[in-house]
Amino acid sequence: MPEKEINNSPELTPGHRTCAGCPAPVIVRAVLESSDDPVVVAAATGCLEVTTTIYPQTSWNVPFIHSAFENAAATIAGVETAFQVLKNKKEKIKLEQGEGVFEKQFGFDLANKINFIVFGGDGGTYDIGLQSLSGALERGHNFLYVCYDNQGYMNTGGQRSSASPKGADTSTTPPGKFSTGKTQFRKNLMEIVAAHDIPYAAQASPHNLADLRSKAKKAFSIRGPKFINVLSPCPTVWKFPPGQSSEIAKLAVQTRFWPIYEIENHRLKLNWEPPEFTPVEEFLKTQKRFSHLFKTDQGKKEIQKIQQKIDLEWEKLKQ
Amino acid sequence: MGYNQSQKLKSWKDIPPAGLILSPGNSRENKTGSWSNKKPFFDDKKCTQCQLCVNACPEAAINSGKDKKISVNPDYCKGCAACVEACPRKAIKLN
Amino acid sequence: MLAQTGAQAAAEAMRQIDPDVVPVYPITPQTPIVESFSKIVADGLVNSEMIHVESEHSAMSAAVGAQAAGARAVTASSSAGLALMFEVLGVASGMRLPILMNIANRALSSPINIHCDHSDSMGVRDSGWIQIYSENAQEVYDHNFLALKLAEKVSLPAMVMQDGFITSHSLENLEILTDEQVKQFIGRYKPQYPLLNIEKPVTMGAIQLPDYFFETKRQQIQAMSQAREQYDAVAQELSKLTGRSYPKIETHNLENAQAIIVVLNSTAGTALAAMRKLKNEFREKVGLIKIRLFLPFPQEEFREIIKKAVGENLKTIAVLDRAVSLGSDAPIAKEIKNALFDLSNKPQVYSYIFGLGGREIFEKDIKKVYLDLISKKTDHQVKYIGLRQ
Repeated sequence: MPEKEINNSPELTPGHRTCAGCPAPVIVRAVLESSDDPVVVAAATGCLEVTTTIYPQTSWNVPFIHSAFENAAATIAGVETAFQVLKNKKEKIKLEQGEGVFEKQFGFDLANKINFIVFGGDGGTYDIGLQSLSGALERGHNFLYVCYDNQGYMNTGGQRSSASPKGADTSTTPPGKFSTGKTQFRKNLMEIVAAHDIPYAAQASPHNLADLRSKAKKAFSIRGPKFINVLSPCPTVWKFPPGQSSEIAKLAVQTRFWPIYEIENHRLKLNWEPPEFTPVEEFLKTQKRFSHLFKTDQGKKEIQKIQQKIDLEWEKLKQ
Repeated sequence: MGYNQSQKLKSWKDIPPAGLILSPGNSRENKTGSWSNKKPFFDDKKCTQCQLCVNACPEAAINSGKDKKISVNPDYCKGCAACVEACPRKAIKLN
Repeated sequence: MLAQTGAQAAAEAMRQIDPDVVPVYPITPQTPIVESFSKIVADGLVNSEMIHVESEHSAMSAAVGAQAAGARAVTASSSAGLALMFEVLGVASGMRLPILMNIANRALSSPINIHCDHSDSMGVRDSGWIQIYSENAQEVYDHNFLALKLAEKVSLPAMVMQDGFITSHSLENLEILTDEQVKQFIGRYKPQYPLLNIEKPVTMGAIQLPDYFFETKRQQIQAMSQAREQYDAVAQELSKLTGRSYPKIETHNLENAQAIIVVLNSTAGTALAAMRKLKNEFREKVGLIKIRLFLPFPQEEFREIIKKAVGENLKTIAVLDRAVSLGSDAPIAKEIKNALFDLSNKPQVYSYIFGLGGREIFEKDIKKVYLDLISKKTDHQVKYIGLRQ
């Protein structure tokens, strides 16, 4: 009997050191539980990886590998290719020498189907990991990449990443006499991912786990590279009460700051349209990382620019 | 916690090579419930067993018992109140 | 007997190894290795899957992933590519994955230069990889099997070096083993903790805090020591198949030699030719040492060889380095001086730098070194061969 069934625990066990209220473990469990087949997980260096694998303890009840910060996608490409090759070997050995010979020769049994999943933060996906992600998507490996986007390098104290939104107070873009926070808008990673012509890409939110699960399930049913970008509101750095990650994610979706959609075979499908217009201020005012914008005229101008960008991006999605 | 275990280690020969961890899910030994005194209390009268709180808990600390009664495992609950926010019937309170 | 370049010899060795996963990125002068192997794959001669990654960093990362999964991974690189994957070299070694890599030595930038020197492989000496240097295409071929078997025995990755362009692009005679002989020699890779084992999930690459890191490193240090100890047995086993020998330190004409040159890779061939001619012309007692296993450095063996030679007639050693270690002694010179430190009777050790950026070295240059050593026209200043001073 597999060891993990013996201890009767979920794929991600409690005891990890994520901050109280962090949605990353919720996202991970939702994705892992959506897989009918066994999984192998790779993770980029980041909050999730560090908090779940502090030696000698691991929260992973499934095979897990971490190699470095920027190469999670390249690492899983190697694992996935090895699986294909060993599977072919097993088939050949079965035909030529019968059942059970592969296990004896290699010392372990190879499952028939494995879902390969990579979890990367926005740092390890939008920035330093973009190259290896692009390479793995372009080559068409069979894996699902899930980015838990907390919009900054949170594990190291909240420095800005290209996923940080305009106007955000991060430790490397603090507001001051000459600054209103991060100057650039956040990178539109979904457009970059979609340009790789992969069979499935989606954006999801942890407030709607049913939607996230169905997206993960759909991804697992498709062969090839898949990508799901999930907003992961960080109570510690965004500065809001821990239990409210879900509420804030919901506001992000309602204000169209974080649209929920799928791109399947070049067709974009908006999963949810807010029935009424909610200004982005409703989302921004819930987190201290934007509070400086409300205090100055310049800040308020920034909010206007943010709203304009959101409207623009929304129009693009609707076309 | 990890530090207690590391003190028990006598020699570099006594751990698996390459920093491998061979006991999957052994972080269960780390009782993060000690992080907070606040724990959720469930109002059975309001609860409809929708299980939204079970899924919302980052620590997988909320369980749905055999009789579908919701309870929390105080060994792991960090008192974050995600369950309080998730409950559509406001049946959970953090104390 | 085949006529192959060093690059083709490496590809041929890889064909017979039939690795499961080959993630590669091209870089001059290693590219022919990758291209030759691609043709081998395209013709269905192996079961290998190639991954044409988008950078060398990803090449080594994919190799780490594949080897960790439980398969055999082999790759190749040079110069800037090796430098780019530096982070992952440490990961591969720390995770104790016996990945095999062929290196066609090429100078590191800046200035950018595509020709041969050893700054690339010498530059990564501390990364925890076994290093074996090859004089010619035949050695490249043989060393691939030697390195792979040794690597898998001690669970450490290994790199096999050859001189870029000089060996990699020169056609030489190559004697190959049969596919069956190679299969028997390298055996099957049986991973101890494969990632793909769903029944026994393992966590790899966990973060280790100060309370455990030191012990894991100590294990790695032990593995390197074991590589030194296990090398001879593996080398002898290969010798039985090929009829050629692979001593860690190869010696020529050390009996009563007064002056010795220490060198590695293709220049050892040039030096051997020069040494033989000198013997005939001047009846001088000159000898040659060619280093094959550079890491783990065979300190004890080297000490014993020199101790014996000093007891006979040895007065001076010239160490020829095709790389500089800026701010310090050249890499091989440093290892030699270090190895001889505890000897009570030491020969003089002189450091020579040559061949940087592919600057040619000729027999006459080597002859001059020998003559300088014999006539004691040397001092402890670093000398440069072939440099416009």
